[in-house]
Amino acid sequence: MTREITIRRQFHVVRGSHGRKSLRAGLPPARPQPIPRLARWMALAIHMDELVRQGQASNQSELARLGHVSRARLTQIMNLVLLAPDIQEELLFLMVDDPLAARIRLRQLQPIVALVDWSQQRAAWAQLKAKALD
Amino acid sequence: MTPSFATRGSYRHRYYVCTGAQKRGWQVCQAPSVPADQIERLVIGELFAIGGDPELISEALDAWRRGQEDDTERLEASQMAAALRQVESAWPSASPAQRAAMLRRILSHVVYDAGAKEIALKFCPEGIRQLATQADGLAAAL
Repeated sequence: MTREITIRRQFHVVRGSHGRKSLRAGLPPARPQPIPRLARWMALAIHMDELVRQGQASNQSELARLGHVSRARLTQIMNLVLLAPDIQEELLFLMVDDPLAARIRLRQLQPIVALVDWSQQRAAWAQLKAKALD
Repeated sequence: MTPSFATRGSYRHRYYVCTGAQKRGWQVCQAPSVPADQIERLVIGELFAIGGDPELISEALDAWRRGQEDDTERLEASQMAAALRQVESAWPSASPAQRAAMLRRILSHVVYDAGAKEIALKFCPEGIRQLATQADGLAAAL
């Protein structure tokens, strides 16, 4: 015979300051999925391009100084806005579990951004993806 | 687990210690001690949350009824919810002794499972029925 009414509840442990643990009701909140580096670069390039367009930064040199990176490095990042819109979109929505996210480097995109024709860019991008997935 | 405390200067640290860990060593338990304020706050929060969740109460009562040999001990979900609401409304103005008395009335014990990250609240049907059916049930508990 069951004498008691049992209700089970989940909890999770949260680490606070100085590693102090505290108990919280419910399941732990789902951790947001990390964003691949390439997607971050792409978003950063679009954001910085907007800053220059809106006049919030006078030029790329100023952005490089503010971001504590070399002008050459900033150019590599900013060049991503020269990619065809569909390639930009693909980079922005790259998921962390996508094998391309780990296999393609910013350096490998530089020859593609140097191509003026978007159709040539698309062909080069397809070739790079195929090579990366081999 | 059993209540315990340690004093440092004028401050008293209250915590609950695993009886298994006390007897067989600290290494046998995943959570040999838990700070009292944290586990108590969690239990009280859950108690009030259960009071506002009629579906959860109904499920728990259904499971309890299935384990009963006869249905002489009847308890409705609305009664349990009402009893928990009474406790919740009286809680802020109650003294520590009154709070302890209220909890003793409705809860028989709480099981803390650090491995499964789960607490099991074991409610005492008799105490809940008394709180819910008697207009002065809470006053009697206090």
